[in-house]
Amino acid sequence: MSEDHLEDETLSRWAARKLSSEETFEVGWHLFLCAPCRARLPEIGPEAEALYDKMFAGHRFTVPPGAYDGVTRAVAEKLRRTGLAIERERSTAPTLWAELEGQPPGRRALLVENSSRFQTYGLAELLLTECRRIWSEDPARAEELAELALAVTYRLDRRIHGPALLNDIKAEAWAYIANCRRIRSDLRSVSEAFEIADEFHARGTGDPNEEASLLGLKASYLRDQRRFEDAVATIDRAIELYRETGDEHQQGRMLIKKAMMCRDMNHLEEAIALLQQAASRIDGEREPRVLLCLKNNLALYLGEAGNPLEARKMLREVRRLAVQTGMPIERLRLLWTEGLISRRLRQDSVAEAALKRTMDGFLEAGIGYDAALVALDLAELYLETERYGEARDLAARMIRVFASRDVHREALAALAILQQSIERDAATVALVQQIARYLQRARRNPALRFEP
Amino acid sequence: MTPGDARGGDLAEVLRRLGSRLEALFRRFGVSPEEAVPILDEAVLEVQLRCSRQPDVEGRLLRAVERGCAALLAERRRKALAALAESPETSETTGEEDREDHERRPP
Repeated sequence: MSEDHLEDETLSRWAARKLSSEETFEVGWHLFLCAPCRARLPEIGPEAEALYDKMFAGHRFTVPPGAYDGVTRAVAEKLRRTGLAIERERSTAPTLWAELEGQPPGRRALLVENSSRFQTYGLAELLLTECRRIWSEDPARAEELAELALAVTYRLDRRIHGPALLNDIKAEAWAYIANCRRIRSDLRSVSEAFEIADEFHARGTGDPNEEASLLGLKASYLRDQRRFEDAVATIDRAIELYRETGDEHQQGRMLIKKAMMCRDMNHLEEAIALLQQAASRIDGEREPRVLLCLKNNLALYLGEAGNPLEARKMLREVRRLAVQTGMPIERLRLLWTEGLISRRLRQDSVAEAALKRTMDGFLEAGIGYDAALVALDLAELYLETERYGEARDLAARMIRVFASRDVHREALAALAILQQSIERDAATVALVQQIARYLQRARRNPALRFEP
Repeated sequence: MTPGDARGGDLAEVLRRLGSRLEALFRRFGVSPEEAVPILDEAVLEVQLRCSRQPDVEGRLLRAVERGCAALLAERRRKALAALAESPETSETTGEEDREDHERRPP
C-alpha cells in the first residue's frame, strides 16, 4: 500500500490488539476517515471489523461530494434571523443605557438583575465600549460600567450565547475592571481582578484575539510597576498573537505601548522607531484617538531626542487630528507637547503660555497629577531662565492647589521639598527633573517615596 | 473585510466564500454534515458577537469552526478509548514492549 494507506501488517497488529491505546486510536481514526482502508477490514478478519465497530459504534464516515452545501445554506438562513436580532439588540442598547444612566448606580444593578429588558448582549457590549472610552479620564465611573456589563453578562442565556463565549465577555469585563483600578492606582485589587479575568479566559473560546487583548492590558500594569522586562515580553506576545490573526491595527496599538515602555527605559531611538512602525499599521478611521496618540507621542519623543524642528513639523497634523477626535483632554495633551517642543526651540514665551494653559486645563478637568507634572515643566523653564520670583509663586500655588487634588501624599512631599528649595534659592533644574521623574514613576504607585 | 461583515447578510456572503475551506476542515476532522451544522452555528454566533470591533471575520470564523471540530474529535477519541478500556482484550502494554516480544521469538 502507498504511504497514505495502512500496511496489512499494521492492520493485523491493530486487529490483534498488539498496539498501545494511543496507536490503536490513531489506526482506528485513519480507518474512520479512509473508506479504501476500511473496505479491507473483512480481509483482515472478523476481529478487525468488530474492533472498528466497538471504537466508533459502527459509524462510517462517508460524505458524498456536495453534501456540505446544505450546511452553509442552513446556517446562512438561520444567521439572517440571529443577525437581525443581534443588530436589534445593538440598536436598542443606547436607549437602555440612557434609561439606566438616569438612575443612581445602586439602582442600575437592581434594574439589570430584575428586568429582562436590560439582559441583552447588546447592552453588555455597549457598556464595555463606553468603559474603554472613558477609563483614562474617569476610571471610577468606567469601573462601574464594567461591573454593570458583568451583571448583564451573568444574566444572559448560556444556551443561546454558549458558555465559552460568555466566559470571553466575563474575562474582558474583569480585565477592564483591572485596568480601571490600575488607572486609579488601586494596585492590590488590580492583581485580583486580572486573576479572575484569567480564570474566565481559560474557560473561554481560546481565540488569540481574546488573549492578546488581555495581555495588552496586563502589559500596562507591568509597566506601571516598572517591571519593564516582563512588560516588553508580554507586549511582544500580544503582537505575535495579533500577527497570527492578521490584525494590523492592533499590532500598531501594541507597538505604541511598547514605545512608551522604551521611553520609560530611556531608549528614545528605539521608541521612535517603534512608533514609525506603528504608523503604517494604525487604522485612523477605526480608532482616531489611537492615531492621535501615536502622532502626539512621536512629536514629543522627537523633541526629546533633539529634533524639535522635525517635531514641530508634525504638530500641524496632530492639531488636525485633535480637532477631529473632539476630546478636550486629548487637546490638553497636545498643548502640553507644544509647550515642551517650544521650550526646546527656545521659544520661551510660547512655551510658558502653552504650559500655563495646559496646567489650568488639567486643574479644571480635575486631573491634578498631570497638572503637577506640567507645573514642574513650567518650574524648570523659570529656573532655567532665572525667573526665580515666578518659580517661587508657582511653587507656593502648586502645594496649595495639589493638596486638594488627586495627588498622593508621597508626591506632595516631593513637591514640598521643591518648594522649600525654591524658597531658599537652592533649587536647580536637575532637582526639578529628578522630582518630575519620581512623579512619573510614582503615578500608579502611591507607596513609592521620593529620595533626593 | 470590514467589521460590518459580522452582520447577518454580509456574514452569509463570507460563508459562501469560505464554503470549500469549511468543507475541507469538516472532512479533515471527520465531521458529518449533520454534525457540522451546530459547529458552524456556534462559530457564526461567536463572530456575530465578538467581531463587531475586529476586521478578522474570516479568520475568526475558521478558527472557531476548527475549535468545534477539534472538540468533536476529542469526544470521539475519549469514547473510543473508553470502549477499548471496557473490552477484555484491551492491551495495556506499549507498542515497544510488543515489538521486543516479537524479536525474542525464534524464526
